[in-house]
Amino acid sequence: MGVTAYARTAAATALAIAALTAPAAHAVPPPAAACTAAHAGKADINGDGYDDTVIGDPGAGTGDRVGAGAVTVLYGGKGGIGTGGSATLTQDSPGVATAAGPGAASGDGFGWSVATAHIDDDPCLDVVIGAPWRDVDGKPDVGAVYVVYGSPRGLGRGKAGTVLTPDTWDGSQARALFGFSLAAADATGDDRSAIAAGAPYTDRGPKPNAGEAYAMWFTKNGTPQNRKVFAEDDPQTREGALAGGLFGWSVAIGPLYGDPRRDDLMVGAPREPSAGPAHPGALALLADVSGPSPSAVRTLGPADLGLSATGDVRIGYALAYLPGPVDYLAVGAPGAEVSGHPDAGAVPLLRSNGADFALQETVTEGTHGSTTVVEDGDQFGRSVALGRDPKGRVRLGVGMPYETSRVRHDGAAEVVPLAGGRARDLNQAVTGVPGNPGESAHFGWSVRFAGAAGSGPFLAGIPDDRDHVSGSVIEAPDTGAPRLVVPPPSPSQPLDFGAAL
Amino acid sequence: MSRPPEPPAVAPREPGDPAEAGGYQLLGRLGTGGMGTVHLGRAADGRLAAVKIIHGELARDDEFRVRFAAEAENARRVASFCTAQVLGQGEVGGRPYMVTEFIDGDTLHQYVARHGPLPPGTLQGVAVGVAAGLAAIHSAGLVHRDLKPANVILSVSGPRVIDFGIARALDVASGATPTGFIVGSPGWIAPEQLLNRPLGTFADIFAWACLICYAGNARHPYGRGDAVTMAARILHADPDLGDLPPSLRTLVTRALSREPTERPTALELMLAVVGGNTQGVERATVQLITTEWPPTPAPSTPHPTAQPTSEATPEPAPAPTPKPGSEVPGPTSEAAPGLAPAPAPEPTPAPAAAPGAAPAPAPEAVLGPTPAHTPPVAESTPPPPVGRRRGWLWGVAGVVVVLVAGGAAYGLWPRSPAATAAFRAVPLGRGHPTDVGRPLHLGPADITVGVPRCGPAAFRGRAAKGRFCLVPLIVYNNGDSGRPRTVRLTPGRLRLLDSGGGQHSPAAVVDGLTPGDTELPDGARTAGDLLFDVPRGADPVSLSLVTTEPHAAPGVTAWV
Repeated sequence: MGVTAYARTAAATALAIAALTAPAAHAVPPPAAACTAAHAGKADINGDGYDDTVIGDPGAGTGDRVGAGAVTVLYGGKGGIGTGGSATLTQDSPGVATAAGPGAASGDGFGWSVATAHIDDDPCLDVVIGAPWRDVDGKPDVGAVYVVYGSPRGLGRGKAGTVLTPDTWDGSQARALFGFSLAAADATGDDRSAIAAGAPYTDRGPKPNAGEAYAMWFTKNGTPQNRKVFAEDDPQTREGALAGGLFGWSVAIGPLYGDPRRDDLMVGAPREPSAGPAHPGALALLADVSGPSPSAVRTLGPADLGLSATGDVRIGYALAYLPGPVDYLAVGAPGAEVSGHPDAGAVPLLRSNGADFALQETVTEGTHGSTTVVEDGDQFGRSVALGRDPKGRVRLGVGMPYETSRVRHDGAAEVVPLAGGRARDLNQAVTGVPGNPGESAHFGWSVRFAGAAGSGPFLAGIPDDRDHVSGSVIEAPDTGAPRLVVPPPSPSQPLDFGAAL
Repeated sequence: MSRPPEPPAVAPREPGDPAEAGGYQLLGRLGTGGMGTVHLGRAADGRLAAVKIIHGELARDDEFRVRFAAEAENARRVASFCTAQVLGQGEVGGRPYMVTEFIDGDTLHQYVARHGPLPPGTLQGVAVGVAAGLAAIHSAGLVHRDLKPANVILSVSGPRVIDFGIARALDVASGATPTGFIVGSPGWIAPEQLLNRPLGTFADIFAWACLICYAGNARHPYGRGDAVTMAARILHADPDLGDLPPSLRTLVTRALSREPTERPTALELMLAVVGGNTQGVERATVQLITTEWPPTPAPSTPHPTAQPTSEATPEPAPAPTPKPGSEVPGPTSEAAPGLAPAPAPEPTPAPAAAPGAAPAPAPEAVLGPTPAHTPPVAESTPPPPVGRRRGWLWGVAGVVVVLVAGGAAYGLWPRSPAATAAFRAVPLGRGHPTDVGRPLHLGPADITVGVPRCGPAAFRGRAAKGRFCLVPLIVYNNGDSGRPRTVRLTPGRLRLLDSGGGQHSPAAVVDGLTPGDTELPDGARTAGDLLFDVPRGADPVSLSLVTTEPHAAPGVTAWV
């Protein structure tokens, strides 16, 4: 059974953004000099010319609030990531906190998801942070998304931040988990800068956990401009979404097909049911969502993505998008059965060819010269990343946190050069990678290529590093030795550092 | 062909029970456990069989189907003379079933409950027979993991070891159980399992020794008590071997070694008992799985608050009468002896006693469950006696094991000015990894414990008898399976164990947690601090959770 997605009724028209702009917060310092283009790098939060890196820790405690979450910014410097200082932000920090409500609360999970883009039009990179268990208006776990602006004095040290919550027009829904997934895009073609956010546990009428995905665009000042909400609905009846599909578990935004000057919204629904009893999951691709209605909607299942339909394929558990000159979308399907191995996992890769797109290949363990072996339960593709190396060649990063290499579930990650060459396998059992493989350490829980357009070092999160209660991240540059990154001292109590990158 | 035996007495079929499965007419119920119900079946030729049918709600759970299939597969691998032979398997009404040979006879548990301790000759026979069964199981590459009197049937051909519900293949034994989560029956879990160390065949040898003590004395060598108490004694106390014949005494002592590799192998046990050679059992030479054991900390005097109490010492033998309400006849359904289940149907005030315990914990189940309506244990319940080894990583059956008190200091992250500013992080691990900071999986629940902090004797207007410790807890229903599953969090079920051997239930919950039951549907997450009153001079060493088998409460698939 196919699935269509369409903008929810009135949401398709320009919608007044429901007063989510934060009033000037109490603790915000006076604005510093504006961020200027003179020095700023492309992934540069403080405009000093060096790319900066953002790491989420949704388990961090702050004050006496357990699991409220924190996000660490590692400022770049001459020596690379983190050599320009660091800052750890919570919901109580300047530029994040708002006068609208209380700050951090236990269990909010601030930093569960992070994304970066130039939301306002200054050259300092801005950061978008999800807190999917944030209570809103007394309703539990509605979820919130924080836009924190870069400035020469650092993240959040310039103008006040913006807090987004699910729309107020039909009331925010308890336990929607808005901000569970996030993506952000610079202004492109005809579209302003954009944020996509998933709320995968939103109930649609009687259908629990059907899920919704939001696309939001911003003015040049970085304030919300308009917003649309999308959900899947049964193509026959057009009533009621599919229960339990978890549409919005992952999101991506940017042009892939249709009009290359408009953003497309790409949404994973990893529990999407099929006609039978199976829940293979699905990927929904909504073209040109900034227009009055999407110009095309495609829903891809296992057969479209070169995947076995056996078992729970979990299509769209993770997504990674890389904008042009040729656009790519990597789709994590960690439940895919490969060569008879359940939950081995696979990563279909879609490539734009202008008005349309095509499946370029489906990457699994052991392809591209990787030394990893397809095994039951590795969950290859639980996290994915895309980037271009300094020479512009596209590369894919894949995490398989349930891989067992030295000890059970120590996890692994690999970097696949798509233009050719051997894949690079990484975990702490690999010579030269600092630290020790740990049982259930989950190396590769998250992956990302740092820097603008993913041109920097490959990063792999180890939130359950057995040697560091705080969690850690491995930074693996193209040349030179990998480095272990642990959270810098801060008033927070880190616990899952590296859970989101 | 011999005349078919007369069917034994069985409980009648209940509404919803199928009339037939796999060509066997179902005559009635032999027993019910956490995974399924065992029926007595009769083939057309009159041959009897035991037909285990998985519970309806479990049949829809892939995880349990896999487990059930593994049970059948494991049982098939073992020589049939020492276990119940698998005759077939299939599905009836969408529910998987397994047909095994019906073995007529009492379980060792039933027998001892009715007749008291076995006389020495019989005891030797059982010792050999069970050791032979273990030798067959181990040579098939399996660890049984749930050897206990309820899983030994005294048949005409000798003892048979049944129930492979949680048996594991050796090659995966070190990793088959999610870390931090221990499956077994309280009182029958080896120290290395409690410590969450790699597990080998030696765990079954430990259980064999407990079983022989039980059979020879009608009481468990570590007494009786709830799961946490039993685990504490197994790790810290000396066993009470009672009145075992001298020929078995030495063997049992060796088999109860806390160091797994100091225990004999099943084959050695068998030969030693048969040959009467009880002195010459060599230290096991074959170590099947690398067993790590944490270094023993220096002996220290017991903390003043941790004196043994009468309740904590192994008790005199209880009268060998069946404990009402704690048992359902049948091979899969008995409460572990040595536990003290309260009389059934009353809710019991005893910690970790069964909730109106019928059906009692299934063999594959974890522990004496604590119902939600059970009041939390009194603070500082009588601690177990403190033995030579103490203050180490603490695991408890079915449980979340968490931290290790010890030397290497964890970076002290100063808390921001807040009510908790006076608390300081406790040191973790002595260089050993701990479970702090990583999620432990219990069904759909991801449970993460943060770095505990101890400090003041007063907190938010409360005064501690000792000092207060805060333990951060995050519980997340990962919603991963897609099937709607609920996690129920009841903070009163959590216990903090301290280095003096004391156990504490939370004095209060702080912030995001609520003291009563919290239902966490798919995707929900809750977090907060648990506040404990810990005696001065003692450090918290673990947070434990006594949990029931999933599905023990309707609609609840994990009970934290």
